[in-house]
Parts: sequence; structure tokens; C-alpha cells
Amino acid sequence: MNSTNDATAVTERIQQQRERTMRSPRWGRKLGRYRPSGRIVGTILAGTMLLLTACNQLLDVPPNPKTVPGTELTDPNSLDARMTGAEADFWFAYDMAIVYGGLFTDELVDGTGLTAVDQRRVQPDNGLIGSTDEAPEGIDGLWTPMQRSAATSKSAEVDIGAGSYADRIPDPGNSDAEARMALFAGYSRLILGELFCTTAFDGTGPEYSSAETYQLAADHFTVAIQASNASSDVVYAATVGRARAELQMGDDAKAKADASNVPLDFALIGDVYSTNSEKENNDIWNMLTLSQRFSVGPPFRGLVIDNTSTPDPRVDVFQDPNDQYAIDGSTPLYQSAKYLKADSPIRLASGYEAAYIVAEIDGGQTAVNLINQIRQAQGISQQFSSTNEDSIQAKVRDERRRTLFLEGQRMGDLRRYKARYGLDLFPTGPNFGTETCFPLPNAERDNNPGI
Amino acid sequence: MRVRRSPWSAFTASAAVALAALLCAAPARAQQGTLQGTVSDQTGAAVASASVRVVGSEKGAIVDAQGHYTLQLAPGTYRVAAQALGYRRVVKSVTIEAGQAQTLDFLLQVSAVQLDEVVASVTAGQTSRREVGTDIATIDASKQVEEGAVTNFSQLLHARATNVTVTETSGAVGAGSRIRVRGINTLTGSNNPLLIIDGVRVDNETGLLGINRGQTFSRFNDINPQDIKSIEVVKGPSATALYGSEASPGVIIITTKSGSSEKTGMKATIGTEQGFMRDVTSYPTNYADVTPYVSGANDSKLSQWPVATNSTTGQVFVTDNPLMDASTRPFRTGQQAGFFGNLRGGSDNFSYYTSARFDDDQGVLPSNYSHKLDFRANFQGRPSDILTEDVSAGYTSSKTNLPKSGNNTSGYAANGFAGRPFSSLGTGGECLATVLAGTASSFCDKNGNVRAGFDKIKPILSLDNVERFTISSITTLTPVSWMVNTAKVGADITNETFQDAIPYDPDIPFSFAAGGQNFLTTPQTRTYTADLSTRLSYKLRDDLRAQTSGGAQYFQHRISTVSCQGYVFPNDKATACDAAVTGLGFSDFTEKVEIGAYLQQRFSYNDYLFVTGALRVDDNSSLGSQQGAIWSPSANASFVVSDLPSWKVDFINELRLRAAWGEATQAPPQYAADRTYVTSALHGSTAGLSPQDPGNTNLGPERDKEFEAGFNAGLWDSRVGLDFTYYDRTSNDAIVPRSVAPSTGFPNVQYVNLGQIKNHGFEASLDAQLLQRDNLAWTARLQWSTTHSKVTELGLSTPIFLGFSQVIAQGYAPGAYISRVITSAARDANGNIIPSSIQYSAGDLGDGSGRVVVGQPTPTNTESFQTTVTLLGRLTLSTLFDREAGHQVYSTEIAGRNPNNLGGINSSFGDMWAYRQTQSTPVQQAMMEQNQLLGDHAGVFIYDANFIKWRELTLSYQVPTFLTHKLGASSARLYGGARNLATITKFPGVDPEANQNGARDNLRVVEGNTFPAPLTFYGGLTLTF
Repeated sequence: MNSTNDATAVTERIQQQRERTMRSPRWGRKLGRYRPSGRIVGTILAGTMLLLTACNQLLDVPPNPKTVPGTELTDPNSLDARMTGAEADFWFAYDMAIVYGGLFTDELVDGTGLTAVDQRRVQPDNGLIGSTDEAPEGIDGLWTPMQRSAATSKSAEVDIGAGSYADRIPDPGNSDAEARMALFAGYSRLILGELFCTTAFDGTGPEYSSAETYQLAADHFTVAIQASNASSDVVYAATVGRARAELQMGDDAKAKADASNVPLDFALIGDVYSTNSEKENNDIWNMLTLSQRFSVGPPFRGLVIDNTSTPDPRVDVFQDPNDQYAIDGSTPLYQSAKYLKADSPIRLASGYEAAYIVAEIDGGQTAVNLINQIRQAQGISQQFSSTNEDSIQAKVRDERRRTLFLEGQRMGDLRRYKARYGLDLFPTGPNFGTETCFPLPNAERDNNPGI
Repeated sequence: MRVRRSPWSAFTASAAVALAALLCAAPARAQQGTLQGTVSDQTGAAVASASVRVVGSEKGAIVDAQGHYTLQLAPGTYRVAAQALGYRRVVKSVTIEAGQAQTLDFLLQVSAVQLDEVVASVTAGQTSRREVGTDIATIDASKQVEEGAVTNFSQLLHARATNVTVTETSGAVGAGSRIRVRGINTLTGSNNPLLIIDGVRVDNETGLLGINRGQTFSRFNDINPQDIKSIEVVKGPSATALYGSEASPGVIIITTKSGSSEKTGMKATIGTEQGFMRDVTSYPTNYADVTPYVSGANDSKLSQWPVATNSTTGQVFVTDNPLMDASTRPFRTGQQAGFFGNLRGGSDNFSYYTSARFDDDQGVLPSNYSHKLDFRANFQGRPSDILTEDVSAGYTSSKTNLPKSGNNTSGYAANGFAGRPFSSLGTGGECLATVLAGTASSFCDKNGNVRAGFDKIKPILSLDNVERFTISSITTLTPVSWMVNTAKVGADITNETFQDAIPYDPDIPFSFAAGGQNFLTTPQTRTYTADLSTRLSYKLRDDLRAQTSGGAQYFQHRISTVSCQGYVFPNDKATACDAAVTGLGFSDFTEKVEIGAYLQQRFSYNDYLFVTGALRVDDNSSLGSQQGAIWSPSANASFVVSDLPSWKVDFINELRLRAAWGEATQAPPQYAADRTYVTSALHGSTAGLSPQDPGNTNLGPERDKEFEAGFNAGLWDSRVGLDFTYYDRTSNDAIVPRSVAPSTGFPNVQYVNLGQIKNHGFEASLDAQLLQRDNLAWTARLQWSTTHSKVTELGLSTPIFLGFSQVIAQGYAPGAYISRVITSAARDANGNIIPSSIQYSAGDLGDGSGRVVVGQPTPTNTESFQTTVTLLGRLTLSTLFDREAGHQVYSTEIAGRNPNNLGGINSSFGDMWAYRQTQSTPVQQAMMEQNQLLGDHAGVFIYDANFIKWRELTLSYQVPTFLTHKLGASSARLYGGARNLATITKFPGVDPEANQNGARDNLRVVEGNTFPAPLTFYGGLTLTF
């Protein structure tokens, strides 16, 4: 009979085989050296079953070691890192915000091709301004880093205030921790309000006008000021911040009251930058000295005190004879001695600023006295005097711009001068636009369901 | 009496019995008979690569060098088939008696139709092409390596499989190419096809390292093309559904050579190949506007420089072309030297193939070189006729230095195309800017930035050291004729050290690198595979056979990287990161695991109608936590119409119709689903947490469905083979990166399954044996394919912009080019554009920018033509042309050479700018000027990129045996050829294939700042003993 592969023949053969097997226990040897053990085949099948059932364990891979999973953040042990992170978010956004504000105004000029900002014609679809984050190899963004600070500081402030860390912070409403977070929540909003025409927060709308933004900032500052256990630095910085917001809103009485509460010698200085990584570098130093993308603008070069030939130490701007041009090879490069190193600190708030606020509001002899007091504290011997109100106000503006050079104040100042006094000091030139603020970026408008 | 059973109960009974048999017993062995014979071709020569197989069974044998085979079979009647690559299959019937020997010889005809060759399959055992309903492209690698001008894997793959596009994005030796199969199918995932070598998955990364633009490293090119026996490309989801959750972009399967079962002795082959390369491209001239500094074109200040003038505007220019001027031209004659040898042989139970190859290539740019050493050892043991063990091991050690190029101020291109004539030295050795200004100028000092002498670029390193070891072990067990089991395990281990360094040089012209800098990265990549499969073949009825296959697979891919950056060194000798003033260290790790199992059922009716259904289940570590396992079904049918008894059409001797459908998946990138925070620090001393990725717990895989149909035909006795396929695929749940509002605090995108991409097209190839005489053989192969890709749904409120010139938008090809388009403009008498005359085209992308789609970077159709003529059986002439069309490319080297300011000292610009009024139309001039001012008008620099390239020309001579015997050799081959012979294109940039993004796995295509493949001539000799 011809054997075929059909089932019958197979069954028959197997039957015969089984009989033979049962007769001879040493079937393996009988059938040749390389016959497969049924055990091998059985093991393969069993192994396959095991593989499939052990699926889930096999798919466990180590998490990305460069990041921390989101679930870790609610752990009480993460409080310190969260607060440090929120503060770091602010400082690393702040230095670049100062650069952008300076570029838009007359503090800095462009030497790298960022003509849209320099020439005041930023479009809402400008990716660098709107959606770029920290970019260690290139130029950091503006909106995204500062918004991160606004979000993390506020969420930390709210969580602390709600008692999420009750074990460590028993009286959250009066705690220094909450005040600290509120301080940065306020400043990030204040700076965004000064730079942008309109803003939005928290991933939801609405679109806030600058005035509304200043009010939001002031509200956060109020939380910090009212915390009885807050450190004096935090309270004074919040007071200066609130005074600045109130001045911008036109609430002169409140601004003067707050500013008068700040001692002249107060200063909150962010000594937070380091050479550890490019992200932690002082961006003002980076943009002017390291990558040489921007240069100090003409109105801030070669400044002297009044009519003397004494260089103004507050605006120590220089040109390196061996390094005369910015990265584009043609723009003359002027650097600032205020930020000479990668870890140079940046001043956020000071008694000087508060004094200038009072001087601007009061004018007259009060302003002259304050100007001279500040000069004395700064080691400048020349004194100023005048009785002409216009000259006095002009001097207040001039002193303010010199003392607070590259501290993120110029943009807010120029906007206020134009809006309140009709004084347009924004830089002009061929191809310049007429904007006085950065537009709300499309990156926010398009992705925020509340706008 | 035979009991009739219905096929289904027979099937279940067979299955049950088979299982029982497995677990309990070993197969019966009645006394067997012997079948033996010879397989030869029409000239009487043995067909050494032939295999003889019992139809419907796993039993078979490979013939030896004399064409003999032997099989032990149980008594019975069988249909036995003999087949070999390049020949028509022949099937004969034979009856075997117990204890007796039967002789069965086969005569094979050369055939252009590959209907019965063995094709790759995920299932165990051998599958022939006729059984599979999908189109699998096969490349006979040994033949192509001999006939073609091929030095690496990418060149071997190029233009030899329909709809597999291999773009050589730069001409540097050691650089990789971008490989795409059937267009773009994913926006965020990898479009690189999977790479499988001898049954195990291997690393297929391209473009991971380095900041060079146009040239990148590619792991595809590590393998020595001479070690490859065949390459198969599995193209669409209807076929890749069985290959797992990463196989959507296609699968390239490489089988390396094995030994022969020669009973005595071994065959040794040695050879050498030498070549040289020349850059023959014309590079554009640079112009500097010196009008404000001179009184006219004849000003004495300009006496040392070539001068040009624009008569319309009266502008005076100094020109230079550092890449073409003999005194500054950096190019040298490149050289290729290769030495190789292999040893193969075997005996009844054992065969081996070992090879070694050394390559020393010097590119046309002075710092470009590549040294490569390849070893391979493949062994096959056949301890019994039911057990086969294949071990394949390959080792590559390579060292490649790519020339600094790309959009780098420290690269050859930026200092050549965009070099500033202001920094050029005149015939008297003076610097132009100094002469014009009358005083020292920064353009002439070491900080002149975008212009450095090429000698300053040469020492810059972009050096990649690779040590790669791939090993695979395939154990095949055929305990009974109706069952084959395969176990595959393998590992691919790559240790790489990449160094990106600008050495210390007191006169360094790049101020950002003063003091030198050295970046070192050491990625260690591991890819592990474990694969078990089994296949049962059985008969349901006399005319109906079936096969059931099943298997399980496990893959693991890991990359662990430690790197450092060192800045400011004391001299150029101390280069370790430790020796730097500032040293920074980094580390990174990523791991991905995939497991899967499949079941496939195939029915074959009379060996001419095949119907297959399969189901695969996968799970992947990169899926969101809410996602479960992924199911991928597929089905196909293949009908060899010409085998029907009623087939009477004479001139069509083979016709196979096929259709297939399948759903494959593409897993998301690892970690894409996680919400993450990263470290920030205050004063470099306290650690903080900062939000990074918003994450998406619902992130699932992309589901790629495809329907494919076509036919394979042999006409006029298979002298002409015709293949045709139509495919239509849709990628659903395509992962798109959705921006979240920055005010949420998360700066990064969220990956969501919202998109849909459709691809469809035709693929056709024609293989013809135009002449087949004793003295003259002439074959030709024509390939044609079309690909239409479109993002049919994006799911986002705004398009995704890639840079400023490309977009991913609904209704357009992925990565489409965009620009505002000026439709009309007018010039005044001075050649200036009248602003009020500018008119724009209507339309918008939906973002209010006024930009519209103006083109796409991927070709819509590709064709290739290859022809080979063999004279007197000895002298072979072969050539390859290919064409790509339907696409455009943005040329940044034309766009990038424009003035920084519209007046004053500035960087160089090109013809279009210098002669705006005469070389450009008013519309082009208006576009260029508006682009300069506002951006968004990149369209003026986007050109049609259609091209025809004459890629290869080879001449080879098989030395007559009487001469080779004098050397003691059994055969010898002399050959020579050329590569990149000519390009026909209207594209005005340097080369339509050069891509500033190199082989990087992304959608960006920007031409510029990259040097194209040079003209190469080579010759070689191989001797076989």
C-alpha cells in the first residue's frame, strides 16, 4: 500500500509507533542518535506558552532616566524640588526676557538677523517668540519659558496654600514657602504683562489686557506681602513688584504707598546662574559676550554723568578692540560690564526702583532729593538740581534707565511713557514697525481653548 | 477501504494527532528508497544553486557543485520540483520503492520570471513565491554586486527594487543614504524599513550623530555587500502584518552567503578593487557688492580681483569661487582601495562560508576618509537529515571621518558657497576688505566668521568608530516530513564612539571654538531577537493541501550612551574631556521591548491556487499604559492561472494573479506617552523639577491598512517577465504632535492618535531576455512606480510647520513645501520693484500667513532601467539609469546666499541677487526681496527636482580557463566601471538629491551646503582557486 500523508495513514503509523514504543522503553536509542526527544518539542511548546503568559513582565522597560515621571510630583518629598524648579523656571526665563525687552527697545540692537524684534514688527506667528522653549544651542524663546514659570509657581502656590503639604507647612497662608511661590507667580505675570499686548494663563482663557495682567500680578504680590512668616526679602520684593504693577495701572496712590515702604538699600538679586550647563548660563552674558548676537544700543553707549566727562559707572559699556563685531560680522559689538560672566547675577527688585517710582509720581523737589540719594548710594558724587518740572521728569527717566539698565524695566517704562505722557521713545529706523508690545503668540491663541 | 471524512474533520483529526505525536513519540521509519539525480541547465552545466524539493512537504536537498542531489524518501509516489534563482521550476513525478535507488534528472531553463523561487517568510520552512499573494521584491545580490558598480549596501539596493527609494544625500565616503519603501507612512515614527539579517533584527538607525548636515552615518551600510546572497523587500502592511508592531515602513531581509556541500576541497576567492573619484560639479560664484567703496569698475583698489558689473543698476561686484578657483579649490582626487577574499566549502554534513574585506577610501574632500574591516563566518551543520543548524556571524570595524559641511560656519560648504569675497585674498595676497576700507577689517582677521581657509577646516573631526558584531543562530528541526520547526536567536551589538572636535589652534577662525572643543559620544546599541515557529503541512484531499504555521517572537532594542564635552584645551595634543578647562558629562538610556505571536493558515488547491489568512498579536513597551495588545490580521490569495489545465494562451506561459489585504501597526516612539519633568538647578547647586512633556496615557499605535493586487506574468516562454502591483494603504490613528498652550506650563508637544495618511500607487517591472544565443546574451529590466502620499486628516487646528519651508497639513503630501506666492510685479526704470505692483495669489494654509503649498519633497514617480549584454559568455557590459520626478526641492544654497542688509558690507550673494534685474523676472525679484524682508516667500528658491541619472556602467571579463590555470586558479574575473556618470536635470542647485538633513529619519528635505556624489572610476580583479 502506498503511504500517503492523509490522516488515516498517519493515525495508523502513529498507532504502530505507539505499540513499538510501549514495547521498548529505550525508544530513543533504538531509533537513532539524532532523533528528537519528544521532550524537546514539548519544551518548545511549553516555553512558547510561558512566553506569552509572561508578557507583561517582559514589557517592563526602565523609564527614561533623563526625566521624572509626572506621578512623582505629588509626592511630599518632591516639595523642595518643586519649589526650586518653579524658581529656576523664573530665573532662566527672566534673563532672556530682559534681552528681548532690550532688543525691542533701545537698550540693545540686533547683530544676528533677529530683525523682527529689533525693528518692532513681531508677528503673532513668530516661532522664536511664541513657541520656542529653552534652546541651549540657539536662542531661547520668550513666551514659553516665562509661561512655564507662571504655571509652576502658581500651581505650587495654590497647592501649598490648599494644605497639600500640611505635614511640612502647618500654616500655609502665612508661610514663607507660599509667599515665595506667590512672588514669582507675580513677577512672571508682571513681566509678561509689560512685554505682551495681551496675555493668557493656565492653558485656559480668557485673553487678558495688560491692565488685567497687572492686576493678576498684584494679587499674587498681595498674597506674599500678607504672609506673616515670609522673609523680609520676599516681602520687599513683592512690595516693589506691586508698586510697579500699580504704577503701570495708573494707581498712583497705591504705588506710592507701596514704594515708600521699601528701604533704599534693599535689593533682591538672583545669584542663581552657573556655568554648569548652557541653560543655567546668564543669557544676557551669552547673547552679548559669548555668542555675540546682540549689541548695546547707541543711546546707552559712552554715557557720562551729566555734563562731565566722567563715565557713568551704572552703564559700563565697552567695545573689545580685538572683537569689534557681532556674529554677523558687520554690526559693531558693544558689551556690558554688568554681566561679564556666565554666572553673573541679575537684580530683580530694588529700593532704587521703588524710589524712582515715588520720584515719577511726585516729581518736584522730592524727585530731585531721591535722585541724589540714589546717586550717593551708588557712589556718584555729582548732584543734580533743577526746578523745571519737565527737566526733572526727564532726569527721572534718564536716571532710571541708567540704574535699571538691562534689568527688564525698559519695555514697561517706554510703554508707560507713551501711554501716560504721550512720549514715544521707542527706537525708529528704515523698515521699523510701530508696535509697542509683543502680540499674543499664535502658539497660545491656537492651542488655548479659552481664547 | 478508506473511510471518507470531510476535510474539516480530517483537519481537526490531523491537528489532534499531530499534537499527540509531538508529545509522545518519534516518527516511524519504514525502510526507505533513494532518489538521486542531477540538475543542469540547457548548456549542460550544473546549476549549483538549485534545490530539489518534494512538493507539499518539507523534504528537500540542495545540489552540490556538480549539480547532484540525494534524497531519502519513504516508498510512494511523489511530485518533485527542482528550482533555482533565475530559472523556471520543473516538476516531475516519481515513484520510490523500498531499498531501491531511483534517478531523476532535471533540465532547467533560464527564466525572467521568478515564480517558484524561495522567498523570505516569517513562518518556518521554505515558502515559494507562487504561494504568497503579496509582492516581494528580490534582488540577486551576488549577481548585482558583480554586474553593478556597487561599494556599499545602499548602492546595492538603489534602483533595483520597485518603489524602494534610496537617496544618496551626499558624496562623502562612509556617509549613509535615506531608504524609503512605498512613500511616507508616518509623521512622527520611523520611516526607515526594518532590517533583518539571517533571521534576526539588527540596528537600522540613520543619522543619529553629529551636527553635520548633509552627511550622516547609517547603520544600513555596515554590512559587506559581497557577503549578501539575496535581499528581499517586504513592502506593505498586507505582508508586514506578520513582522510585528514596527514593520509598517517595510522590511528588508538580507540573507548572507552559505557554503556549498562539495564533498571535497574548498573554494577560495581573493580579489582587489581600486578606484578613484573626482568632483565634477560646478559650484556657483559668490558676489560682493563693492559699489559704495569704489569709484567704478576700473578703480585701482580692485586690480587684484575679478570684477563684474550690473549694467542696469550700476553696481560693481567682486567675485570669487573658492570651490572652483584652482588656487583655493579644496577638492582632491579621491581613492578607493579594497581587498577581499572568501573561503567556502563543505561536506555532507557541514558547509561554511567565511570572508574578509578591507576598504580604505579617501573622499574628494581632504578630511574625508573611511576605513572598514569586515569579517564573516557562516556555518551550516546538518548532523542528520532532520536537523540543520545555521550560525552566521559578522563583524565590522570601521572608522569614518566625514568632512565638516552643512549649515556650519566651520564647514566647507558655508565657506565655499556662502564665503564672503570680502575675505578673499587677491592676486597680490592682500585681503579685499582691508584694501577697500583702508584699515584692518574684521573680515580679514581670524574672527572673520563665515569665511575660513579650507586648510583650517581640514583638521576638524567628525569621526565615527564603529565596532559591530551580529550573530544569528537558526535551528531547523524537521522531525517528520510534514512538520518543520525553527528556533532563531540572535544579537546585534554595536559599540560606537563618535568624536566631533575642533582641535586647538591659536589662529582658529571660529571664535566660538577658541581654545578648541571636543565632544565625545559613545552609544552602545543592542538588538536581541528570539523567534520560535512551527509549520505543519498536510493534505486534506488529493487536490487540497494545507499548512498551519504559528510562532512567537521577542525583540529587545537598547541604546545606552555616555558622552562628554570639553571646551578650551592647552594644545592640540591633550584631547580628552578631562584635559579641558570646562568638561561636561552626559548619559542617556532607552530600551524598547516587543513581543508577539502569530497564526497563519494556508490552503493550496492543486498547487496553483493558494489562499492564506493570518492573525498576529503584539504588545510593545512604548504604548500608553491604557493600551492593550494590538491585533493585526492579514489575508492573501495567489492564483497561478497558467497552471490551469484549460490554459491555452500560448504566448503567456506563466500568469499569476494575486491580491492581498492586511493591517499592520507602527508603535509610537518609546517614552512618547509619558508625562515627564526634567531637572533644573539654582546656582548650580540645588535641584528642581520643571515640566517637560504633557504625555498621553491613551497613546496607541498607528494602524496601517493596505490592499494590494497585481499579477506576475511570463511571456514567450518566460523570455519576458512582467510584474504589476497596485497598492492602496491608509494609516489610521497616525500619531501627530499636538502643541499644548504654553500657558499650561508644558513646553513640549503631546502625541495623539489623530491623523490619517493615505498612500497609493502602481509598481511595475519588465524583465526581458532580449537575446539568448551562444555568443550573445542581452537582458534588460525596466522598473516603474508611482507613489501618491497625502495627509488626509491631521486632527489639529493648525498645520505642523517643519522649519519655515515645509508643513504637515491636511490635504497635502507630508512635508509639503509652502510659500507666499507673488503672481505679478513690475519694475521701474532703475530696476527696482514698484511696491504697489505686487500681487499675491489667493489661498492660505489656515494660519493667516497667506502661504500656500507649492510642491512636495518626495517624488511621485520613479523609473529605472538596467541592461546587460554578455558577449561570448565572457564579456559583460552592464549599465543602470534611474529617474525620479514629481517632486521639488528647496535650495538653501541659493536662498542662503543673499545679503544681510540690502546695502552695505554683507555676505556674498549669487547670480540671482547680483543681477536681479536681468537674471530674474520681476516676480522672482519681488519674491526674493520680500523673503529677505519678511520671510515666508521661500517659494522663489523651491525648484522642480526631476532628474535622470546615469548611475552605473560596468564592464567585466571572465578570463578563459586556459589562462587562469597558468595562475593555478579555476576562474578569474577582470572588471572595471564607473558610477555617477551623468545627471540630467533642470534643478539649478548643486544636486537634486543632496539633502542638508542627510539620511536622518525625518521629513525635512533641504538641498544645500552638501556636496553631491562624485564621479567614480574603478577596476578590479578576482581569482578563484
